[in-house]
Amino acid sequence: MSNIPYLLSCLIFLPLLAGALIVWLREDVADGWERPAALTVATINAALSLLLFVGGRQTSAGMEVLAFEEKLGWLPQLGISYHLRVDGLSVFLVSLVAWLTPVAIMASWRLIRERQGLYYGLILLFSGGMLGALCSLDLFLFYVFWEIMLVPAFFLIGLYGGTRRREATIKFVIYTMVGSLLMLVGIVSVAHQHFLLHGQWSFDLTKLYGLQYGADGGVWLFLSFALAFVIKSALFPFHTWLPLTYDEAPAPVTFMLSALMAKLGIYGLLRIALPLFPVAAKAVAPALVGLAVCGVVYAGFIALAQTSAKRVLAYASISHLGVILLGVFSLNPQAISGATFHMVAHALTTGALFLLVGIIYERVGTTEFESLGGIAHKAPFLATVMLIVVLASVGLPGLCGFVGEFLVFVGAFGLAPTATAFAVSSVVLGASYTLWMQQRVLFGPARADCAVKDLSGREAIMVVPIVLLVFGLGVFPQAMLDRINPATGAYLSRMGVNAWQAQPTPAVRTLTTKTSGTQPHGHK
Amino acid sequence: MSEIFSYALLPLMLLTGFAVIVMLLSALVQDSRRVAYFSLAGLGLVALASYGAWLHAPASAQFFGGSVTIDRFSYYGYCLFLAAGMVTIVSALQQLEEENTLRGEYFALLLFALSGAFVMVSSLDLMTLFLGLETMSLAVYALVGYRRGDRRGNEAILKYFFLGALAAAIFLYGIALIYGAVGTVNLAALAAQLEGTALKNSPVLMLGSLMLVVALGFKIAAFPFHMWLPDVYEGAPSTVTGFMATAVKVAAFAVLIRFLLALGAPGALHDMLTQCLLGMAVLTMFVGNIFAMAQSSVKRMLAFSGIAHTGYLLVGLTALPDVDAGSSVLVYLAAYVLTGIAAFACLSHLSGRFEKRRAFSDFAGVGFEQPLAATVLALCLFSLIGFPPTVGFFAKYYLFLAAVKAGLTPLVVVAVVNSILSIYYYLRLVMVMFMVRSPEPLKTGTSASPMVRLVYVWAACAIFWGGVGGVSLSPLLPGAAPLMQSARQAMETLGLPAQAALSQAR
Repeated sequence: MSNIPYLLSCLIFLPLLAGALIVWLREDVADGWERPAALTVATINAALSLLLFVGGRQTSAGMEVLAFEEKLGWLPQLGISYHLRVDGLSVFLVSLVAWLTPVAIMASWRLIRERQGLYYGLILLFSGGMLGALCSLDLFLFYVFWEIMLVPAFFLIGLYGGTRRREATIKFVIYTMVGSLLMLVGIVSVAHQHFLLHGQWSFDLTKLYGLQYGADGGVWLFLSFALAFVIKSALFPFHTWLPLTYDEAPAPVTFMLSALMAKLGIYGLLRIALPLFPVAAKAVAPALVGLAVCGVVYAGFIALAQTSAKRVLAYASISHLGVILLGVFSLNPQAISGATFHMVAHALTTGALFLLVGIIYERVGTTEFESLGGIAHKAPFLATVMLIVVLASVGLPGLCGFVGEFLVFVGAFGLAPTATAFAVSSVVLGASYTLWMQQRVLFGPARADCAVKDLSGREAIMVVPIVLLVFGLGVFPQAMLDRINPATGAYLSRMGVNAWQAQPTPAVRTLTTKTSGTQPHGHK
Repeated sequence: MSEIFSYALLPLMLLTGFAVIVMLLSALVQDSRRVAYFSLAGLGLVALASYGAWLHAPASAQFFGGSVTIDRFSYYGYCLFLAAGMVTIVSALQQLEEENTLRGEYFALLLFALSGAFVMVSSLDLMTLFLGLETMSLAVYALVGYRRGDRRGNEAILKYFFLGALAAAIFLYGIALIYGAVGTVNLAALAAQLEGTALKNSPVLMLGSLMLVVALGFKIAAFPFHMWLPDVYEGAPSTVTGFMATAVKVAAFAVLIRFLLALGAPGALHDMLTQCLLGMAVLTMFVGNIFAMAQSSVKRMLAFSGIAHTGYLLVGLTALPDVDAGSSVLVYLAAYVLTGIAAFACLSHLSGRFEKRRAFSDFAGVGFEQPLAATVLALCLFSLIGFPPTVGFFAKYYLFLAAVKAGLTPLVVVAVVNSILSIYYYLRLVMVMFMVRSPEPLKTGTSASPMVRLVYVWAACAIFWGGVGGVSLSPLLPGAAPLMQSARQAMETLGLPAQAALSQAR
């Protein structure tokens, strides 16, 4: 099947328009109509996203590459076009956003009782903004969606968050805006560079790749982009907005922030910052690798000291994102494939953990360890699910958390052995804080005031598919890696590294062979 | 005399005529609402005439011995003034009726202020310019003190009047010096005389032009001439504040653009003025933003944020005589007029009778008491921050683009840092309106009239479409791309009279 026309636009604008409509109409239509309406729209969108996998295969240089593309003129005087594209790098994130949005809506089903119309509308807007940013191939368009995304997040945290929500909101917004406004200067400068070299303005990434910058390769421009993206993905020391925001946002919103929005920063690095400035990226990468490793270890230790499950998960998120960033900045085929894989795996595990902690919060009214304990006796199903997800997040082989982490470490080790050695310590740290959290929440003496009912049908529908995916990706990672690898190859060749000349080490070959359980590394 | 009947002059003539008639009507007609409707209809007619003239009249034509030029640049300014004027009338009608102070003179003064602004933007002669400036200023002084019994209003008018008079004196003295140096007060002749002569380096001319910039600096409230602004903005009725923040500022900026272009190509004079503007831009942005952060009154916050926007606009002026820089300033002005006038209209409605709501805390929970006005105000604030997809974003973006093109990237970084500062206070208001629940809500009990609602909906659509539109949906809803194109056309007509004068001189 070839390109399905306007599929990407549908994916983006269905939630955006539906969200705007729900916000506008709110209570006017009927009592409580917003929840089912939002869920229906989100589910339709999720189903649409599946079409990305059936159609749109393109053959490029002998490799089958996933690609959906749409291009229309928008503001031609300034070289701005409406250019969308989904390929192997983004397809999993796009479908992840599309699929986890209905989950977030279901998770809010009983939690949000006030101003439901506004809430569900904003969730859809948030989702649409993220989808738009993931699909854009024009920098201007990307920036528009990148910022649109922030408005619903601002209102979701500020209106429905915990007691310190306003502080959290303003910190979150100012932090992210600092990055994105400086990125705007970067975007304008890149387009100006195109103007200087080719005599016309352009914001199209495909035209901007390969532009030459001065002797330093545009280090400042690279940094202006990178700053926006590392703030979003909470690279140490730009992570300080994250704990408060994650703690104060309502659980389903935290779920969306951690599972989806944080990944957009990493996606931005992979799609925009690194390939636009390969020379500068290579020059700065060692420093960034250092920061990533600092973040991995630092956040791991802080997580150990936390007294509430939600905050442990927030710091764990920073630590895990550090691992992904380590992979991204290693500029090496295994590491980048691993990072892309780990983005999805981390979205699933962290997302599921935030969901489960949210479920516990709904029942007990807190996530502080001192008032939790012994939940496993009352809610065995919940405890089992949580245990599986925790093990996956720790990186148990056979579950999804292992593959990406391993590939990142293997890829990064050749380049920065010492840093990687430190980062590997995060596995031990991760095991400590997650399992300890697990122990304090689920096991121990059952507390009288901690009467927790087991998962309801609705909650099971939310969580079980994620658990299945956690298993599925752990056992058959090759299915996904097959789609990621060609994109990584094309990507690295753009960076000036020939991906498939840099052969994977034998250890990786055996690993990928084992984990996939099928034929050796390659394409079917 | 026949030139008076030219199509190009029609908007200016119509407006002045209407201003005189409205003044008479306000003395004769008992029901002041009728005067308001009549003025609104008059402005509508002028708007139609301006739009028609943009389409059909010649791109540039001189009148009255070359002292007035009506070109695309003028029409562009007219449209902005008319938008500001019409929204002001609609929201003033609502506010004054609630306060029982509806009198016809408000609208007469407003129309006179507008005709002064029209003259300013079309004048090619420094003396004519001065006449326009004074016509506008005198009318606005009276409007500022419209609430006669109000202490704050009286303070405001006194401050504004004294400083305005001082600025006018400086302006006149500047004109005298320029005349002494060059022997002409006509901008086209000035440009032609300066072309390729050493006259440019004359210190008298430099001092004169600097004085003109200082005097206009008062009107646009650039640092260090901004001190009057917060008190005046706070003391004036919100509708008048909105008019001052938009129309008066646009008029002064339009004059600055014309004047700076007339001084022409790079040289010692140009360098000196650019240095001054650069310093003023940086300081104005910082002063506006930092003081805005510290305010507890919403109106004062908006006043200081207006200073900050002057700073952003000065960044564009620094990059003149580049056409992109000029048109980016024009686009920014359009965005600022639209957003600013809508914001003050919302504010005057939300703050209730005699502006009961002043402090941030008074606005707690307004978002759910008056959802439409609060939502439009929030949209305006997002546009003022420069958040996509709003017209404010597009304008800021285009401004930065032009500045980067002119090699002013460090200045753009300063502007961006300032935009970041501005997020804090703008979002503070959004948060107070929507995210704080007031223990005892301040009931103002006002509901918007259908006309005000229409303005809100129009403003919201225009703010959105001005940020994303590739085409104009109608002259009322210009898209981003056509807006930019019109601004470019307006800028391109600016050099014409100077070229004509130059060829005549040769």
